[in-house]
Amino acid sequence: MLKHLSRIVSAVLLAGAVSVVPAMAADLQQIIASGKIRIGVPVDVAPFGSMDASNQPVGLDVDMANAIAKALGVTAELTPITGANRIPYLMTDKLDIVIAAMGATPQRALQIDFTSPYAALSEGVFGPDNINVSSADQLGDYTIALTKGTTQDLLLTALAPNAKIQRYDDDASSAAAFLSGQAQLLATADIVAQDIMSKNKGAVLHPKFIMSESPCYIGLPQGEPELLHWLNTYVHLGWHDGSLSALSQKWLGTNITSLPPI
Amino acid sequence: MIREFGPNDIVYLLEAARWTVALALIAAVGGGILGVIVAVLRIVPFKPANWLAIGFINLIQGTPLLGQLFVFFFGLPLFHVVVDPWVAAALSLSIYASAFLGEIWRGSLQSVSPRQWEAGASLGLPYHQRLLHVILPQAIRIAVPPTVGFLVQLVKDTSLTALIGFVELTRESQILSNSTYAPLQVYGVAALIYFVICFALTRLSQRLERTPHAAR
Repeated sequence: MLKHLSRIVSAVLLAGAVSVVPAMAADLQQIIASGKIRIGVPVDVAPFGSMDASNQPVGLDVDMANAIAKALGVTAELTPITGANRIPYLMTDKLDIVIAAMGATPQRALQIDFTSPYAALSEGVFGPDNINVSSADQLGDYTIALTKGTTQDLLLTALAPNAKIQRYDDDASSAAAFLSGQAQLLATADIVAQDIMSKNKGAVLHPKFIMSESPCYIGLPQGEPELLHWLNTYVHLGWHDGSLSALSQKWLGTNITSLPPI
Repeated sequence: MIREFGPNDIVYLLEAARWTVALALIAAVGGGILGVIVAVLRIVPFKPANWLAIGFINLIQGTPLLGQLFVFFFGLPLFHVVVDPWVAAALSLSIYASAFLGEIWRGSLQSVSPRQWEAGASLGLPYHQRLLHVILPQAIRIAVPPTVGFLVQLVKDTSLTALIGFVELTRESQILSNSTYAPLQVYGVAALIYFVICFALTRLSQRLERTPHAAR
């Protein structure tokens, strides 16, 4: 009984910790005055962020973070984040912004602010040729591996609520589940599917169907209108001068057209 | 984009393992000190102290370490108490360990026959001398295996500190696995490193158990 009670108490504490009013955070002028911007980037979501051979973060989001710091004229202080702690980091003023292939949802937007999208991923369901599936309602009894909490999770769950979805912690685990035969199909980004194929002889990941172009947004704490506006201006200009498109070309291998702003 | 798993990655894993060892050491020392207090509060013949200890043990054992870490690191700043990751990790791991070590040691102390307490009393020893010189030396022997067993568990529990930004062995494995898409190799090496750390602890325990004790 006591154990149950304390579990409940801890759950309530946890929920409280996430939903209490955010601490005061640094707005644009403070960031410039301090000479540095604290940016959270992923290191376990290739091609947005991963560790290179010398254990340094690289990827689309890392490039984006450095470019933003450069444009602000401050140094970038990059902090590796995980899917679980990126929003708490922002809400407790441990980071100024998070650039982490983050999709926007109405629920997330209650807690943090999102800028206009700076990139988009083409996401779909991939698998070998002998599996005859071309839309979400044909998934039937096939097991699909994907990474939980990602946009492909949200998309596929909405498209095929009764599908057999296996959710894994990160992309490498989802890929391993597919490669080891635990799942017959893999829901992932186009670029990742191609990379897995080129690395693993015999693995066939041909597109079964494409779910959507899911945009990625920069996240920042609420109540910082100056910073939000500056970031939106930066993203807007990036679409015009082609630098965001070049970034997508470099890391995602695709040119994307401008996405509707927030 | 996805690179190959190379010998360098083994070095990165070993470097990350230093954090695992450091965190486990802090938790063992901090938890040990607090655990003694918990164990003593749990057995002293003074009811309110017993209740306090029982409440503490139930609260900590009954809540997940992950939640405790979260509350310390992300919860306290909401009340304008800023804690850096080291403080949050040291505090929550020590408190977590103390609740378990306290119970282990309480059990060890109480497993010494009550006759021993009575024998001490008949020699005219006061309570604290009976505890320190009669019961404790015998209890320590009993406590070694479960204590080391828990510490082995604690070494692996340090992986939860990834939530608050520590890149220790498990988190580094996860990062490298997602950079190389070679999870079998990465986690294989990580498992081997954990094994070396934990096996060393187990051997230490066996040695301690064999050491003849002055009290016997």
